[in-house]
Amino acid sequence: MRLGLIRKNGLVYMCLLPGFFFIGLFLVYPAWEAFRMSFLDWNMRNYLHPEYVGFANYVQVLGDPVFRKSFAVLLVFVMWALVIFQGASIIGAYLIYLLGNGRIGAIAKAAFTVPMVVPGMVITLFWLFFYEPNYGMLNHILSSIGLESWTMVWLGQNQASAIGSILMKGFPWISGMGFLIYLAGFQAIDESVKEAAVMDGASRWKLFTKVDFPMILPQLRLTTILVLVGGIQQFSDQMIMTKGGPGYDTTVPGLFMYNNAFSYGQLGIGSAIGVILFLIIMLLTFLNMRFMREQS
Amino acid sequence: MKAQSARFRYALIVVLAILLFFTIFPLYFMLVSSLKTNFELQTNFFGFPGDPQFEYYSEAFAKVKTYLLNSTYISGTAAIGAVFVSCLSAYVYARFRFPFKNLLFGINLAFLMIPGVLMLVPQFVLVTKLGLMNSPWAAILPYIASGQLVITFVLRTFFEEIPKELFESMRIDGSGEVRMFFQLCVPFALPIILSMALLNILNSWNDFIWPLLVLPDQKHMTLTVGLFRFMDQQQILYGKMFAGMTLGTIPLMILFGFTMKYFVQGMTSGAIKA
Repeated sequence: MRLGLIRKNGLVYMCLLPGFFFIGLFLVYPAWEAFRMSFLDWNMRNYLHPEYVGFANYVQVLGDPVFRKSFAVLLVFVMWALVIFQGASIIGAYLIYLLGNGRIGAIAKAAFTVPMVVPGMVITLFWLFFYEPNYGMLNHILSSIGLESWTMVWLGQNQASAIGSILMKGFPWISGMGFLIYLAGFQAIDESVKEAAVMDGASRWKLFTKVDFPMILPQLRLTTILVLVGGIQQFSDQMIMTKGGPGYDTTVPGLFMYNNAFSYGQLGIGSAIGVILFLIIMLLTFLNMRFMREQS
Repeated sequence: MKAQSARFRYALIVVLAILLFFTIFPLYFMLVSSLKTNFELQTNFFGFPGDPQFEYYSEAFAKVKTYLLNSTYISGTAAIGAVFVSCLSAYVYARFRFPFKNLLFGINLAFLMIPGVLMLVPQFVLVTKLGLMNSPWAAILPYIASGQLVITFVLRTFFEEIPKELFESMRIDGSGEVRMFFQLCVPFALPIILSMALLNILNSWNDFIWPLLVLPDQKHMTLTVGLFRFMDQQQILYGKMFAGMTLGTIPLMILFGFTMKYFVQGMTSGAIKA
């Protein structure tokens, strides 16, 4: 019996082996290395002989005005994603839900789902062209309606224009995972609950705020933490559209890490920035879990 | 429920139509511009091309072909690998009790929450040390490693929902674990397995930073990075760039055209479970 148990467990561990091979080599080891490397002075000049420097990398990074400023920039992008992106997907999903389950509703749902599978880079390149100063669409439209004086180098003129331009990318921000998740949430609403509210003469606004919106709160909590965690790490839009500029005006912490590690070859400093971002994200995840537990 | 007034419904449709217009417009613009010379793009900005330059497509395809093949190979292999690895793990977690089960599953969960930004620099160093630079495996292996985490998590809950009696009756009929897995679990969870594979493909296809780092060579570049490089050239032929973007959009459109139903189902049911 005991032998059978061990043999059976042997098979169990064999089945888990592939998964843990990948976890061990590509996740556990790099995670450990991130902490170890963050204490090293390790760059392209001393690549073969990195030197232990204690917390020096952290001191240097935390004292760097560019790094501090990058958090203010990040705050703008993350707040925008939390409020505007999520708000747009909720509104889009709700409008389609109001159309009902008929033909038009199904067509609308499909039409907003299709752009989801267009490669993100294609969308980004379209917006790059939209803002392009010489040939681009925005300046073209402005000139052709007589607002020549409004034209500018949208992604490079100043901080406001560069941040604003990146934020407006993807307008009207409906097509995405959040949209599908909210729509499924709305469509799962029990219609008999609503009938009672309608009988009582509730207005459309009241129906939304008191009956329908509370129904998607579980989905909203999930997407909020996903958007938050994803948003803190995201930097490819800034890298592609402005390279963090003008100056460091659109540099977010992730891009600052990328530049340090891969443009300047400062692997130790890059790792230290990674660890700092990791700690911030874990703190937020933890707070969110505490908050959710208290709620339920 | 009270029938909606016709006027409200019309207003709804109009608002949605406007939003849809802005959502679809980039795709329309990409298509018409892909056939225009730089000069026509300036003189006839939004209209259909007067003198369509079809050769842009053959020129763009000559470049994009390699990127498309690379991306297909990487995303396909990574998705198959991640699903295979996850099926094994999820089945074991769902069916058996064994020492350290909670600890091992906890490690899986923990890495689901640990952000990738922590590991970007060391993973790059690791891949360099393994001599994988400019090899498709530099992308495939890490994609399997991170992709399997969520699939294992979701599949476990799906496998656990299968009634124990079904396993019992199959065992009485003399089936082994392998048979139970393929004849009971896989058919039961096929839609979710498929949608997880699709999500995995979508993510790896869209990834930018990692392939930019580990596959810099023209021959090994993925589609996302390859398209980005189109913009880098000194003299941009915008028509050719838009043609390349159109060509890069087609494969996923075809794949998801056939499987969108599963994808949407799996996404939404998976999200509710999680």
